[in-house]
Amino acid sequence: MYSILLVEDDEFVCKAIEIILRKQDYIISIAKNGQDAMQYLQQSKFDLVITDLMLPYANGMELVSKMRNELHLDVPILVLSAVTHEKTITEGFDIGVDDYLKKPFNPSELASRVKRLIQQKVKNTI
Amino acid sequence: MNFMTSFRQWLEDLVYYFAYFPLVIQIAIIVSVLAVAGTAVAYIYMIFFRWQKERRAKKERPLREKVNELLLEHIIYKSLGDQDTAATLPLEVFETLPLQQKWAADVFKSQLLEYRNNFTGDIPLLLRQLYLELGLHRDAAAALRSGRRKKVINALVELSGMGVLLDNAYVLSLTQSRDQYIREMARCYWVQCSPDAPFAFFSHVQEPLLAWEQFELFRIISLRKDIPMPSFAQWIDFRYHPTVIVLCLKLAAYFQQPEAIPAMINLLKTDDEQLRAVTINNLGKLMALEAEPILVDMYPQQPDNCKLEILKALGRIGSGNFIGFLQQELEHTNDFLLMKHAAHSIVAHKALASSLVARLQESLTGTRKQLLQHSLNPLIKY
Repeated sequence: MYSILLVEDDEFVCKAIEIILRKQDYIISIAKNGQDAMQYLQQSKFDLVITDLMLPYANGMELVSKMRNELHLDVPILVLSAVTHEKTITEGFDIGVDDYLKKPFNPSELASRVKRLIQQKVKNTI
Repeated sequence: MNFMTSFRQWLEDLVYYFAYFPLVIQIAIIVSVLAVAGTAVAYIYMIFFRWQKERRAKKERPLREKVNELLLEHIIYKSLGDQDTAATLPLEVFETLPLQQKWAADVFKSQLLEYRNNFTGDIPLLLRQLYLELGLHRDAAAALRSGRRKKVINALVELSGMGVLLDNAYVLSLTQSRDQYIREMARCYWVQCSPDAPFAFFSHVQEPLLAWEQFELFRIISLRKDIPMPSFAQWIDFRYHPTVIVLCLKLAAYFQQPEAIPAMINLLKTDDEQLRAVTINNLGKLMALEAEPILVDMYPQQPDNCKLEILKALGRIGSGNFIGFLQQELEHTNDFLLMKHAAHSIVAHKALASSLVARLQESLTGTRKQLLQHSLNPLIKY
């Protein structure tokens, strides 16, 4: 069973993703903002982080940057956001985002991307 | 009892003495009393409104959770699994909900809209099918013909959110409604939902499309991926309303339709300065090479806003044929904005202008030189 940290402030999206991914046998932890996410990341290990970009307190970009530069985590990061500005997306990839999915999203596509990122991580660990 | 007696005594005294107060004090008392009463009423209204909202939310919560459960189970999960089974909707499951009650139907519809807005793929289509098969569209269909503006607009919002087009001929007539709000909403609905003729009302527009309405129509049209875009040149003609022409100019440029260039050039003869400026702007966005000499020829007779657009257009087209003209403007005009856009347009010519830029950096002085440096800075957009 792989564990995923979901960082999302929209309750509806949060609930939907949680249910979709639980159905795929993942263990889901939910953080409502960047600060909570950092606490989770310091306390436990995750196989994947799914984060929105527009978050209260610390936004998604800051979170990714802290994960890579302060906590030195190599966990795959999937950004799920309504932000479509190309510059923001490329900046995200530059600072360590592994994949990007635009909102509104297709649940099957989310499930496939999550599966691929986790498989890649497992492969790299071996 | 004691308090009531003394309050009553105080009120009687106040009324008795009020007549003897100077006029200014009387007015001050009246204004104060009205202000305090107004504030109290506003607070009571807010508290009542919030209480009502909270009560409604409490009543709806269990149903909302049940609806979410059913939608996730029967629509979202299915879309994750076997694609073939996703096409069949378990109507009987949803029919167990108390949808005959208006409040319950409203909760269900709001959840359908929420799911449609948050998911892509087959899900929005399945939700639309569910909405139709449960007959939830009937209320909105009836409301469309209601005489009340709010009801009609709510129906249009609901139907456009669900992507359902009903009563084509009637809705098309609503796009010419005398009521501004109904007309605007009907136009957005029609453009979003009409499967074959989303632009049918363009030819009949009599009242102007307001700026925000143009913006919304532009957004909806640019998001429609299910229809081939027509040539917008057909509406770039003096016969149509100027605001329709403006919208079509922007659309022709957005969808890069070079066949619209002759119609745009023809439109340059218009007496309407604003329309001419928008036309020039969009000729630039279409990189209309054939328009360059015409724009340069007409430049001296133009008002400042059109001159500005001509300079911008020459920069966007960037052929290099009129770079000397831009240089002349940068060196001789005294208008700050024209100077700035001449510099921007020279720099926009990139490699074609590299030697000229080097020379101008040597020869220009003062504001002109500063503007050129400003334009050369890639971190500054405007």
